[in-house]
Amino acid sequence: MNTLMQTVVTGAVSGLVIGGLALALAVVYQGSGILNFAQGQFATVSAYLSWQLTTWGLPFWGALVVSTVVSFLLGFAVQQIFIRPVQRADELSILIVTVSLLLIADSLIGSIWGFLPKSLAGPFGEAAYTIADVVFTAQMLAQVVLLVIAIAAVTILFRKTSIGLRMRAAAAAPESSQLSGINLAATLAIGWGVAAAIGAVAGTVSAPVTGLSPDVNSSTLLLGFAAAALGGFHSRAGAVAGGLIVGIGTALAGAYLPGVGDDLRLMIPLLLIVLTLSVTREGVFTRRGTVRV
Amino acid sequence: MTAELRLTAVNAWYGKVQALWNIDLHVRPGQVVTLLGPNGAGKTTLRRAINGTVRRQGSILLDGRPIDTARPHTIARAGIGTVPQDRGTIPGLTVAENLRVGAIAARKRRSGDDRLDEVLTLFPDLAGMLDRPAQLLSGGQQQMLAIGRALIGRPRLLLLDEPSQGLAPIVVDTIFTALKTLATDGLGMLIAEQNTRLGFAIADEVIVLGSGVIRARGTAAELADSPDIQAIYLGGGAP
Repeated sequence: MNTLMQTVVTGAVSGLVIGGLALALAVVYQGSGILNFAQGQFATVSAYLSWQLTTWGLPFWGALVVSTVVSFLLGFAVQQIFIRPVQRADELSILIVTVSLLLIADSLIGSIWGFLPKSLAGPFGEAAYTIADVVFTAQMLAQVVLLVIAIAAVTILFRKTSIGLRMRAAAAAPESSQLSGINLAATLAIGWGVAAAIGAVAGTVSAPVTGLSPDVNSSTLLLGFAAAALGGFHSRAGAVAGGLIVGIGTALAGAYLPGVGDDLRLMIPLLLIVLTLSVTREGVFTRRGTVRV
Repeated sequence: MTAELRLTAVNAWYGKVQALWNIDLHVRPGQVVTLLGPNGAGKTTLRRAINGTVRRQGSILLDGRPIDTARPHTIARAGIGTVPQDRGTIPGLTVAENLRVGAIAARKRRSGDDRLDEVLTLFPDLAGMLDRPAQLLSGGQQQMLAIGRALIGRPRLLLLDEPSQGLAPIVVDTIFTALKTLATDGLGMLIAEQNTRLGFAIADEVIVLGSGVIRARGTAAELADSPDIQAIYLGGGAP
């Protein structure tokens, strides 16, 4: 077995999950200018929802679809109920609201589903394939395919549809967009819904590996922030690329850096965030804005 | 097709600061009304009060229907097209995408095919740069794009905020020639303008704002003969 390549591939697979979450963060940030600290909890709620649906007899795929749709509606509703009233407030107030959402989601998950870990059975079994000395499990392949589909769907939504055009316009020039007939409040809420839907896919497809607990995605969210910081919160493609870099980087660091191991791996994204933001405020991949020297 | 706008006793605020007092204003169908006044006179606030992007109070009727509590996008869809100050083109979107955004306002009114051809006839400069990002256009081209975007929404009344600001004289000529063509075709307009010569030249009626209240109103000829108005509110510029 090729250990280095195996580490890179495994890191890239989790990097896609991180990239999915970073993409969700970027979609919300682009539209509303808000860092949603509860984004990881959105994904966790969605994963629990998928689990709940499978226990009610729905197959994994059906649960994934229903959970994604419900998550979209949930994201939309959360924006309308909790964010819209404070949309014009200062950044600190909004930050406090999203951190509160994080904590509330935590306790809600605990009170509904309990704090003991659960496991969501993926439909992929234990099948594994060896290609060029690297082992790919069916779960890994499914994770890659589903996340690539989700990311492609978001890209098409933004680039090719009228809703996407509205979201891009509203993000770039809110007032001019309103004066052209764009319903700003609804468009921003759709952005939150789309972000929650991406999180639902990321959370559900990774759940068979990670298991389910209320804080299962908190480290992924930190990694997602690192990815978005690296890719630039303004760039959707940058967020996904950042996710891959962070995923591969932390996997390599965990395997090869002496003394890091599994316990200190989370130091790596934190260092990445600090390093990226101290060199460039806007991320490495972003096209707009200026670099502070 | 063109609409009537009537404001009665309109007040408006920026935050807690009142910026407009007791404004009465009437744009008849197809009429061009120019708002003149120095910086800070309240021209943009008045435009924004009609758009619904500042807090306002009083009666604002579009074809007799109240729009004074409506939200900005609803007002746009009702037929008020706007060219905001500083162009208001949408950066990051191409020229073609900016124009597609403009068409959103017309969608609910089922006005059929969009007016892309008309806009490109009015501003041939834009035809060759449909795929270019809007922020890479020159100031004049951005202004043409902003007007084009408003027109593609099939407005029944057009609000223009300082359309000549920051533009070279030759570009201003192009813009105002286009505006006159639109006026001749019967489109009603309310134009806020600092350039008194341009403002007088295009207007059926001129309204002079100062410190948030209406100081004078009349035809261009009536006001042009009033030396006081020029001295106090227009900085003495010859009409």
